[in-house]
Amino acid sequence: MAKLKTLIGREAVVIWRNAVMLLLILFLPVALGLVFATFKEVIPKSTPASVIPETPEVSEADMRFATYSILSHFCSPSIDSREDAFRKLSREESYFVVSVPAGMREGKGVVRVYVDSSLTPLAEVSDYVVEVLKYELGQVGFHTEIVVEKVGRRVMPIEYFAPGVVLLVLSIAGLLVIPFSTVKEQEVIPRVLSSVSIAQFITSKLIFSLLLALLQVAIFFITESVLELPVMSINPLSVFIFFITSLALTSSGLLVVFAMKLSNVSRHVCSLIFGVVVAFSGTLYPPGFLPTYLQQIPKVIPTYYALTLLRSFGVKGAEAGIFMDYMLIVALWFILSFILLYYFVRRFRDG
Amino acid sequence: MGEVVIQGVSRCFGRKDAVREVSLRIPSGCVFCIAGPNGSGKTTLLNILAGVLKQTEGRFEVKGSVGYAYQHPKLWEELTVKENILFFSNLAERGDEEWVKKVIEEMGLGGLLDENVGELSSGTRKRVEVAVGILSNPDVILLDEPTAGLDAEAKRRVIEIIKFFKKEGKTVIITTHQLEDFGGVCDRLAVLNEGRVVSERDVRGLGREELMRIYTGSMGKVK
Repeated sequence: MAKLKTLIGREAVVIWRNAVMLLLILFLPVALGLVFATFKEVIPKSTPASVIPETPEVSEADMRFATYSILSHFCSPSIDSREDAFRKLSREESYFVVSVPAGMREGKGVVRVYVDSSLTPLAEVSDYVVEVLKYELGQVGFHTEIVVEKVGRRVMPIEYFAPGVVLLVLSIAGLLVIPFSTVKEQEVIPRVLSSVSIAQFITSKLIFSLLLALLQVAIFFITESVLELPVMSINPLSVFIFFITSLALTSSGLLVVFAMKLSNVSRHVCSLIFGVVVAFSGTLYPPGFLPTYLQQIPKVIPTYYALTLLRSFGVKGAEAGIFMDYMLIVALWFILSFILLYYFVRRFRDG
Repeated sequence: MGEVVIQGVSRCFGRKDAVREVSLRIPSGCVFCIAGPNGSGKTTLLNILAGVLKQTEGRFEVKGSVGYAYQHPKLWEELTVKENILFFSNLAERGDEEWVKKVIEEMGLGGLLDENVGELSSGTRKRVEVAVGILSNPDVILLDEPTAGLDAEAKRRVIEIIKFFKKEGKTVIITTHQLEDFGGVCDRLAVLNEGRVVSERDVRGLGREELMRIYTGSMGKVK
């Protein structure tokens, strides 16, 4: 414990004396908080949507008509069962659900558009969705009534994006600060590794990264509180995801620099990974708003699942049950990156 | 305590053999010089004894604890001398406040404790490196090229430090390609070439000229 304290204390002293790093750590969360507070609206394009029959009597022709003749002009629809559609909606795999009434092609019934209120960027612009839908129906000569049904708790844009900010600060600590300072320490690490075990060395890095992220998140939360804006709730599930994501990101960042033998190039690789994480995990923009061909990228990035979990548990108050697969992905990501990190540190130590 | 026995130790990096079947017996309290040209495997052998590297073959036994001063100081450059000493003494398994104070005094670091290591001269950094290497009050002290790159005054201080270790009864293993610096200090000499020990003998009391004659003679035999 005393050794851990010493290792962590030294990390803190080095950061404290690095003005640029300190600026990044202390003021970035404030800046991000201000930027996201100004988020107003976006118009969705190529967003994933689910199409469901209103009743069992809805014909296949009506479903195909709604899906391929109308919705595919402005979103990426898929025909689902009611249960699957709402499951997708709560997992942010679909951004809205369109319920097709029987006789739609004859202009009968009411088209219902279900939007998750907590999926703020889309809930905020659901009126646009209705307008586009009316326009597309009008193009083929139908004037069907359309009703928007908002499900779930309505959240403000800042609440929706707060988990993105949290992931961003976790990524800064795990993919930039810790790996960069480790590369800088390459000369001293052999001596440190001859005095402490690999597990102690890695643990000190992971704990310090977590402390840095906690500090940044605290500053972000305080900034939003001063602006009288709600952020996200702190509950066991969101805290668990926060912790495991921090550990996994830091393990991944360190894994890259140790796999590349602490070379300067490894820092550029970490920066590149940071860029991919920020751009494609949904930190700044919901992945469903990306062009269709880019929407597949988030699916192979574990931070996308981590962010969805952070938002679902921290903002929507979702149950763990429907996210077991996502949680498994994040847990496996941490375990795998930790094992590989251990291997590469040992390889570095043993020459 | 302090005796080192090396039996058939080898280490290869890929296809290159850095150390080949080295066997040495280094008695307790001895100042043992390992000399050889650059790339002869001296540092690799020291790294193995320090536990920084693993040997690929053979075995060795060090009776007691080991302290290691690297050729290129491995210190936190952004921290002060005092902070470096505190950091590494906290990580050290043994050692005590009295010993640390003694080390600071003997290394002549008392007036430099608040200086940033990155701003020190190479000779002073070397002294800090040696100080950090022996914070645990080890029985065996490994010094890798302790005089390389130092001016005459800094070299003189290093020799004084080695004499201090000897007085304390420590076993000191020094690698060098500047054997002349250790005339009169060195008790035994092993000459290493291409990873192998080409000669080993007692050199107690011999001056720099005699040491150099033995060294060049050993290397000449190899050629």
